[in-house]
Amino acid sequence: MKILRNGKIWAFVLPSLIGVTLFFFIPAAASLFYAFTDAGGRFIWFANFADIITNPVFQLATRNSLWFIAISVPLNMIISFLLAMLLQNLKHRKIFAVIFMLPLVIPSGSIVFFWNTLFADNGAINGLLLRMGAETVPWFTTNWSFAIIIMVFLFKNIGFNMVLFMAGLSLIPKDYYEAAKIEGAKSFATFRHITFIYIMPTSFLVLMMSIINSFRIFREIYLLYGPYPHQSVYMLQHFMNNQFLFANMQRLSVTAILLSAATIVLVIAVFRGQRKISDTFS
Amino acid sequence: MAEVIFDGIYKRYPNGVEAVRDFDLEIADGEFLVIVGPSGCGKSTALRMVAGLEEISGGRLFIGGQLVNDVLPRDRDVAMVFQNYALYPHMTVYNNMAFGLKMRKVHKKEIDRRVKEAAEMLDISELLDRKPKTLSGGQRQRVAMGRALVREPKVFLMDEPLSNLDTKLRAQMRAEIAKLHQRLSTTFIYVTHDQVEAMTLGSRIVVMQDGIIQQIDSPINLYNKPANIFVAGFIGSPPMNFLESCALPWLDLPEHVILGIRPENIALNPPNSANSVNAQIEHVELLGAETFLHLNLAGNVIIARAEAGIGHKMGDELTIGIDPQKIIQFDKSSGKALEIEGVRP
Repeated sequence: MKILRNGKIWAFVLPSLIGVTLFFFIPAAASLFYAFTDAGGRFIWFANFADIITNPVFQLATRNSLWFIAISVPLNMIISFLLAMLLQNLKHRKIFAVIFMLPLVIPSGSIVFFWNTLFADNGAINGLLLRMGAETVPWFTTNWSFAIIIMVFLFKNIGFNMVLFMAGLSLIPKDYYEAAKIEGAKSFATFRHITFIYIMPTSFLVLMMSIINSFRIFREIYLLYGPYPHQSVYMLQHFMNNQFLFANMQRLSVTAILLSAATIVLVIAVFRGQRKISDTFS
Repeated sequence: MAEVIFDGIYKRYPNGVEAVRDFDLEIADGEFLVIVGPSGCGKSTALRMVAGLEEISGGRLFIGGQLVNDVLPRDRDVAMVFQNYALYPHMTVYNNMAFGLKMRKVHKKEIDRRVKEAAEMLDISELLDRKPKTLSGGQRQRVAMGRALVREPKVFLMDEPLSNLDTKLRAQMRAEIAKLHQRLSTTFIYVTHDQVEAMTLGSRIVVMQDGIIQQIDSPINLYNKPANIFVAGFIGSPPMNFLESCALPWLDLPEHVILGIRPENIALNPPNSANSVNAQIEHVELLGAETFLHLNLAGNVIIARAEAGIGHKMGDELTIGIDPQKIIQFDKSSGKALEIEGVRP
């Protein structure tokens, strides 16, 4: 190709190409290599995969991660949608939007510090319980830790999704609502036939963002509970992190590949759904 | 079927803007009333107040004898055709048309009968299973009308329903809307900025400017006896020519008078030299069936309608004659018409 023979073009492409090769292609190739070989470098087909899938710690981490997505993502979507519906007709909705967005720009460290002061063994809530004469709760070392993580996740992500939903709601043509009013639709029917239907494309976007963000919750869990948290919040990322610390490249690579595959499948499914929806609406 | 009465209606927005002021109008049962005016004149606001989509800030509005100021849109028994049609993209044509009846819990068989009847009337029976996005602009327009039709409302409201169509289709739909009105003999209120639509459709026309009614009259009276300079200039295409009284000295009129002359009332090279004056052609607009000449008359540019094929050229000098009977006089300061019948020499 003529364009590739032009020397100048490489000056622009090379920096990115080196970066992507060093930090993406080579590690990806290495992961594939590790996933199919043993510690001695012998090719062993899917033995590493079998080892991982039957590993009880991996199973626990997978179960927890799936539970976390299954609970936090719908909750996040429902709450942020309801807030968007509430706020969309308010005069000062932009101010509220900024307030709800704040947790997103606050560093994780500060957020964790806040939740820590609330729920630590000698934290604010236990202090309150003591004052009321009740028994304190070891929030971080019981199943409560899962609920707390859900709260942290919601606190951090609701604002952003709410703004996405508000943008989506404002895109629904006013005419649709006015026609419905004249045609005789009451508020629930209007919601069911218009709002719910036409917010779908936004919902898919929010769904995807929420799933992606749910993977990122590891940072907060790690900062709050350390590398070996209560078993209810031991996520796939903990598992991977610990394999990394032990330099168990085989397990780490297999988990990374499985996680990537699952993510790709999920993203394709969501995109398909979205395409189907937008075909219906455009 | 019902009459609609505006009794001193006002629309004020929170920022103090008055979109409609002191609007008094009685629309008879079965009448086709057109509200016309430039954008921002308050015509759509007036219509939307009838629909219940805008709150009424002052005055009283009656539909079929019932005071409806505080009645919800769905309880007013009106149907509206929107400028952008407002069809629901996820529903088929059938479901779009049936939506209002479903909301009103009409029996399924009755819905089916009415939808099919309306579809036949509008010639869209083959489109019932299609989605709006697969339809042309004209077809969507028909579906929007069908949705209004199936409801069998007391009053039809139309908010610039043809403005998204091309000229040819617009003319065709105009004729169909007129036929539809004849057939249904329901009250129609039709808002447009297009004076051709207003003239061809309305049995009466309301001309609005800046939220105020300028004139309510039949199309022909609006054309021949405009109440003021605004109406005179708005109705008619090309618009009426306005001249200072000194431009036609033989009329011997006072200075505060503005003369209004329709383009077709300017005679070109008349045999009789009385009441005539010289002018120069500045621009020629060929339209096929006729030609519009832009003439320079002592510094004023006026438009005259000429027969096609005479071969007028830019820069030509010609004599124009103006029949004083056909001149409309306006007061310069108030803009009001002085003597509707015209002046005698």
